[in-house]
Amino acid sequence: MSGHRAPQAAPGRDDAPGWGDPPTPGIDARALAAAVPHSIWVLSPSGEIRDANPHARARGEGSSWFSFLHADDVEAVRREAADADRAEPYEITCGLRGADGTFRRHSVRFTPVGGDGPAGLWIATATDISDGDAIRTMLETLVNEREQALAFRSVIMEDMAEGLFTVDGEGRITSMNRAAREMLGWKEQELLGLPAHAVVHASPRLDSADPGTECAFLRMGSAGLSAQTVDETFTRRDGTTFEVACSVAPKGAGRAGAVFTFRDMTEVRLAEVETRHDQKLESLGRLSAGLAHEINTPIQFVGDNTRFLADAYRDMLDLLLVYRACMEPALGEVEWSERTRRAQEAEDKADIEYLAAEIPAAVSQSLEGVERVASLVRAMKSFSYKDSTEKSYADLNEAIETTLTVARNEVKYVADVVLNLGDIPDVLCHRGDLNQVFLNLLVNAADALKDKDDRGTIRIGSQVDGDTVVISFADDGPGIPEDIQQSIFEPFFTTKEVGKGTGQGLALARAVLEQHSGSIEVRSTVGEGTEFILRLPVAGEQDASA
Amino acid sequence: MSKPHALFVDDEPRILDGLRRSLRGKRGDWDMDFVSEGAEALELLGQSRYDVIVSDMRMPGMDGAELLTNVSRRHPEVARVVLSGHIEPEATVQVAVAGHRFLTKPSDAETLTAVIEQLLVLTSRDHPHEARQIAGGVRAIPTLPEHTDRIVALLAPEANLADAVRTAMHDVGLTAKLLQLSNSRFFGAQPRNASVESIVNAMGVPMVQAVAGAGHALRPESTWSPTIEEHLRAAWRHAVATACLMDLVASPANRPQAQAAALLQDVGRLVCLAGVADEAGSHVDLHAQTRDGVPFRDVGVELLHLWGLPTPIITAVARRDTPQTPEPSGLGVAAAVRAAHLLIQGTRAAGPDDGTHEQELKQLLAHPQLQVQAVDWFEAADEASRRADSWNSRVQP
Repeated sequence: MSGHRAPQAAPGRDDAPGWGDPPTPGIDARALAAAVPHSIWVLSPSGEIRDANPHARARGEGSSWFSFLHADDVEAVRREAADADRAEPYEITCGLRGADGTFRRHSVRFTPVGGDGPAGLWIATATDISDGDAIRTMLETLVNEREQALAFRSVIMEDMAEGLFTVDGEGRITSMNRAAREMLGWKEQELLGLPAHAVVHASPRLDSADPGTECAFLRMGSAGLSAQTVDETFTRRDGTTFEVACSVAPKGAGRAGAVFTFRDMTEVRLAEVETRHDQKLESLGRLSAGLAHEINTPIQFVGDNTRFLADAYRDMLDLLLVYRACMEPALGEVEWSERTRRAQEAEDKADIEYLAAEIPAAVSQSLEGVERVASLVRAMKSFSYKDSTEKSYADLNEAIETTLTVARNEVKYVADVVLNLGDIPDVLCHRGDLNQVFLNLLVNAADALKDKDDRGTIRIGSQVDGDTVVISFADDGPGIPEDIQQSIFEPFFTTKEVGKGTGQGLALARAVLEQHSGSIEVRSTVGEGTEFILRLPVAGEQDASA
Repeated sequence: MSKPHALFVDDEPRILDGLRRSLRGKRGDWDMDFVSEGAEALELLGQSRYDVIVSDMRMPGMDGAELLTNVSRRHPEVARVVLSGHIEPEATVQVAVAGHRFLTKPSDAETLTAVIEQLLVLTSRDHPHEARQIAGGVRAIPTLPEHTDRIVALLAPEANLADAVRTAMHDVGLTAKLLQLSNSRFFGAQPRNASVESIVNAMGVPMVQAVAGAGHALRPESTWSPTIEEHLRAAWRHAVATACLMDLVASPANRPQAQAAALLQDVGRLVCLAGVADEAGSHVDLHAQTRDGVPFRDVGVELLHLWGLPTPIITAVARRDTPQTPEPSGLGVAAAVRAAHLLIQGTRAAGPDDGTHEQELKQLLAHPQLQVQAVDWFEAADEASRRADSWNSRVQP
């Protein structure tokens, strides 16, 4: 229950326009009182009703005004009335009983008339405000909610893990949250009003002649472009830099300025590097088992042949000793025929024909085995080529052949490989990364052919297309269903059984190709096969004008 | 008597050339054939008698696992040796259940020769070829439903090393397979008398799971008649009880082998009984303990010999039913197995009886090694029998 003094210029005063003297003929106070849609009473100071207009009388019988008052409000109204001894108009809101017996909220104005002091009469006018009251309550709720929402939003903005700052139309910082302060190392008041570009972009850029136009970031804020996400490098207060993914959104509603939110990508980038490393280790683990077999096989037969050669040498030596004995002058009188007989016997024992035929073969096969191991070791060395951070020119045909050598054991039981390598120029690239991509594609092709009834075929081709080298890996395996063709490049997507693949192979391939400004696409028909097509710009990056 | 006949299979002709040359020294002792394809090998096996086949694992077309599985079905009398350059454990285990012995490339001719010569030895005095015929076809030891539960539990991803050790030490089939594998060269050099526990610890859970899984997949689909199943169960319980009692009977140095021998003591009985349902026309005489006239024990010993288990274990199994008079200096593996077996015969876990041996048991218990221990042996045997019962009861889900 609230009561308050009526404002001095309350509406409905006698001096309001249109109500001057003399009164309009035929219209007296009673007629007026009967016409207004409000209740009007003439009351004694104690609240006895001396007169009432029809609207008030319609509320029913009652000698005291208080009989219409809601019980909850009686106390407050009496307090207000007691306070009103200065005989000035005042207003209260209270519940009044209507004709139907229900109570509704009213604003009641008490105006003293007929002399000074407590002895005088009062005119009470009551206006039904219950509808307005509901609207006000609703408004109050809305205002409250809005305040809560604003508070909530500022808490979120302040405490969210992403950095956030806002700029005005000129790109000057107008606010920033805690994460932004912590990541950048500045206090808010140190940066307010400074150009965001100058603050967060590395100082080398500031030195450039026209930093503003170079910075797409800055243009964004003022030109009212639509929201976008960009990868950026931000500079901390101490001059160190860090990678961020930054999203820029205009403030909207025609207001100049923008909201920047950004996330420190250092950890994410590290995780990406680690994932790539894991994938390399995974394929290395698989390769090493195959490589072991490829090495163990020649070692086995080189060992066997060498052992045979040792035996053969002993047999030959035995034979030689017999020959020598036959030549011994000390034998003196022994018949020539006897000497021939002894030699013949020794030759038979040594199986000289067999030795003569087998020893050269054993030697050449041993040398072949040694060469096999040597070439495998060379290929391994070439395959595991350690990239420097800079790209270098490499012969991709040779890289493909190297990959084929190290992965031979993965492929040879399931497929024949047909190479169709064209005359292609050296490509500026990270060779080690591309080796890995070739390996992943080769192993995938071999895996796809594993369940085929007969041997499959893997075709690897390379050719030039303008400034681009096009490399293709095709298999005649079961193909990739259309509905998952788009998913295959996503990290962790795999159709291989658990433990057989991490689903990183093609994701890595795409990442590597993107790094080379190239592309990888898949064409596959179920039942016919799958072809991966790689495009690599010879210059290592896309020509800017292209 | 014709010369022993060996067949070598490898898809790499250089390997065959090398083997031919390095084994040339044996040309007076063996007949040898060298082929580069599984199909060709099967053809030759169909044409003449062979004693040993040595095969590569990964080959185009029919691979080693398929070839050897075929051989085990069609020519069980041919001892099967794997000679492989592959090192990945999963594939290894796949073939390990198809072959008897495993050699890795590179292996020198002496090693290969030694293995072949071992396999040319037939252990059964009275029924050498029949025992080889029956034992050669065995690829896994039959597993009862309650033990299958244990194996399945072991295959669960959350199985730990302690579980693996416990399961392996109580499982006849797994114990045999692990000893067979550890004695080959696939897993590097293992000490000759390695315990099942140390083998499991050295292999690690995933490898043991792979071995158990391969054996599990191989187990015969056939169901046995209730009578046969009860006999299998009784033999199994007797084996586990004897192995439990080994904790006390065998000296610490002999315990690993004595426990293994105790578990494997009736392996011949198990495979002969279980095989009844598989092969029509074979006849098992439960009273005489023979299959097709071959004593169960001869089959068991031949099997353990084919699988290359350590000699003390094979000897102990071979001599389980032979009265023993151990040296006072030590009981040894064989007498320990005999003593524990006789003790268990007095319990609920008793196996089929071949008479009373009270006098012999008394002498064995008087052996200094047992005498010094303050143990009531009959009570210990009852306790071991109870432990075997509780192990053999089905795992509560």
